[in-house]
Amino acid sequence: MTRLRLLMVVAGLAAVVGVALAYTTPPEALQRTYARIVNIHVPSMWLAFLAFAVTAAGSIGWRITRNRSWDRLAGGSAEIGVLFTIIGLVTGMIWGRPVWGVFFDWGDARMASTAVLLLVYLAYLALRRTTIDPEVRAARASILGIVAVIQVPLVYFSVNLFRTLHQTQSFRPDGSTMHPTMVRALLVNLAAFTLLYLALLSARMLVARLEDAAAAREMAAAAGGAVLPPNLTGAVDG
Amino acid sequence: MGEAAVVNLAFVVSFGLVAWYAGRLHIRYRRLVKRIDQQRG
Repeated sequence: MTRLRLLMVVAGLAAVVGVALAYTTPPEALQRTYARIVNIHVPSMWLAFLAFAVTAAGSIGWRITRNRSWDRLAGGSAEIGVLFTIIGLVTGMIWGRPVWGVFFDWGDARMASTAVLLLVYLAYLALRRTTIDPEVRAARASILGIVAVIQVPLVYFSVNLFRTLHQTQSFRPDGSTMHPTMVRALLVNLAAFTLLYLALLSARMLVARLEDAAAAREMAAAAGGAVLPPNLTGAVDG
Repeated sequence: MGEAAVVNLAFVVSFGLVAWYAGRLHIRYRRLVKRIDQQRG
């Protein structure tokens, strides 16, 4: 079994354990069983923040080394970050309707800043598609990848900076406001989602390496019939 | 919609999106392997 498949199996099993724990937590006093949605909402947003931080790190890595692997890491991580931002927003809306009475409120600092975060990273992915030249793509995307990450702390601390609808952090230096049973389920889900992120990122990096190899061969063939030897070391075994 | 149905919906939508993305990656991988095989002749 390849490392990628093993990682996917472990991540899948961890997710099953996480879901089982989420469904066995006792109902919360005010939110009742709706509180179980926190077990996917919080890990999704944590992963989105992690993914965008990795995008910034990959962008910095590319600017320093000009190594294509860093750009692939940045692009792949941003794609997964967008996926988990969408999941975070959707689960927040599903939870918000019965608990707050609204699906979404543009007047809320956390919700509005998260929506802007999503739009900026969708723009980042669109920017990556504006050229087929991998060097130009990396040069353009790395600038936005570095600048856009400033939103991550803004989104995280928005609940402290502006007192609107969204509650403040449940995990604080002075302790958690959640019951230990709920904290345990949430921590397991945080770990499971992090494994899912690593599995998806590994798969995305593999696909990106193959895309680059196929594009390089096609460009070389179009340039004069010559075919470059593919650099697929470790690409298929992942 | 009942309380349990709302909670289930959140979980199904979330893991459904993850599964959709993973499936999409798998399809892209298969197509790329085929394309590279064709390039090799």
